[in-house]
Amino acid sequence: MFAIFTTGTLSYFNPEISHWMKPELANQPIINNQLALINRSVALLQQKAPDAPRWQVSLPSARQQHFRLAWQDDLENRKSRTRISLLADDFSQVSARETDGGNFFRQFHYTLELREFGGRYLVGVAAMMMLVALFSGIFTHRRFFKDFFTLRWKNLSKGLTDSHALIGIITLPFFFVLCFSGLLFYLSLYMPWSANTQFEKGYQQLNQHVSTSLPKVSASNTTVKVITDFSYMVTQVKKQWPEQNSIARLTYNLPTDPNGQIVFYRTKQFSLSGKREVLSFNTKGELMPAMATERLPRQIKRIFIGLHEAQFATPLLRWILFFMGAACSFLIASGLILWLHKRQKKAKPHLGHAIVERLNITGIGGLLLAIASYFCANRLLPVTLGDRADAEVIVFLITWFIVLCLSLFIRPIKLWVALLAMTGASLCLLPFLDFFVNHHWLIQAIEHRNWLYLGADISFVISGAVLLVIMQYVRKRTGATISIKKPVLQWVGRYAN
Amino acid sequence: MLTSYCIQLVAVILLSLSMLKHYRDAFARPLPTKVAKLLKLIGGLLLILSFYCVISTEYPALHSVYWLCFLSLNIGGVAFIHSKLGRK
Repeated sequence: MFAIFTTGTLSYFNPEISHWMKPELANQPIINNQLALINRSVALLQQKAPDAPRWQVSLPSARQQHFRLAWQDDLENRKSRTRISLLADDFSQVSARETDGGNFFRQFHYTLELREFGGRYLVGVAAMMMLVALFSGIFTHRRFFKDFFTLRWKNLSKGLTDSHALIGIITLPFFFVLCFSGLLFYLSLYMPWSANTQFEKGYQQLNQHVSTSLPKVSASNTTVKVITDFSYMVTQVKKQWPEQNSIARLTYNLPTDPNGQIVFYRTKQFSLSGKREVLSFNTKGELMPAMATERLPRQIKRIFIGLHEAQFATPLLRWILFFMGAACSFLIASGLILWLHKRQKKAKPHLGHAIVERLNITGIGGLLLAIASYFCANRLLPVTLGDRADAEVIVFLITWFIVLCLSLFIRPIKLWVALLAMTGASLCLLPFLDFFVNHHWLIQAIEHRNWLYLGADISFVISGAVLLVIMQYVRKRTGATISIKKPVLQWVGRYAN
Repeated sequence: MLTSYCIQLVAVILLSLSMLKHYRDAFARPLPTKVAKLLKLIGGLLLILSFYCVISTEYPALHSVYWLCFLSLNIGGVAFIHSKLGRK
């Protein structure tokens, strides 16, 4: 559950993390003239894929500076899609390093890298257990309401108990919404029986019944000229969506057919719903009727999913949600530690406690170090390496496994301090690593005032510093010291001591 | 939004001060029952007012999310301040 929440929290900044992890695509000039970009993109698509039945233009936005064109050779098969990334100012093609970027955290968050081995079921069970824990936690800590707003920091155990209870209360709505909406995502997996009984094709058919979509286009035998000037359509769109850079994406279906369709997708800024607002036009430039409103239960599901993903969030709200996610991760971690601590104090030490203690260290400290190693691998692995994206994930998993092995041989408290020190130091040093690998990226980011890139670097340093402060606090309260004889790691030990 | 946030912060402070322990830490004197009730009442009303400020805007659903997030932040912040006051 800690892993699910931590990686899910990082997923709030999925585009920003991907942006940092693909430095070749970063530092693009921001172009606000969406009409010019659309016109030029369609002209380029006409050259690159004149016979493709679907063209797509993903426009750069404040969060996602990547400007992408795509075309699909088969309208029904999404796998037939080819994508290219471009520079928005001169339309030159750029190729970025192969990486999963922030998407890795998003996928890990609901599959645990076990998609084919029931990972989503595991996450579902964990979410259900968490909902139970949420309410049982309120019952367990009901006396806390008498001492509300109380934090006692002098004692590590009391401080941890108070902060656990307080965070549990303040993140209650957040926790409930996330666990409940998380279950709604894969309701079809967790409870397929009802739909399977009522419909021949199960949930797929049920979805078709309750969801609304644009009418499917069918090709005729005649051809028409491709629309190259979208000024009329963009003006119509801007009348309905007046905010700046309101168009996130454009899809041009059957471009050379009289039955063609142009669909504009709005950026998700003003709606909690996970479904994007769309406007569609025919090849004559006429606005087509709006999509029918969905049924209330489906709308409620979409709102919960929208709340889960928080695509609507402004930077301020996204940071607040990030802190709430971090607080929830802390809540789970402190819960795990407190559970063990109380039993260790009361009962005689036995194998079960030792196993839980090692798993706690691996699950919490090991995961944080693995995340830091994933970022380091992004900069250190050669760009030309085959299956590079997989290699980054392997580094993440190996680091985690190494921590598990180390937890069997090193005294727990020492390992806690060492892990916090190593993770903190690695995160603090990430911007320097970035600078040493290629100093142009950071310098250009400063020149272009690319806050997405610089923000990531600053966040790494702050997160690292926070972990080092926690490490110092733990070390002081427990008296743990690190003595490391390996010269390479001596500075970590010196700092920690 | 900012108005709502400020009202909410005041509300949370008043509600926290309506508790004997925190009132004593802040003002170094016992909390009279009447004052406690008054603080609770004003705090509660201000909390409702801050929510009203949020839902009377153009995007009430969106701003309700902000309101809840700010509420968590405010409670966390006030608890932190009280923990500092308690130490003294």
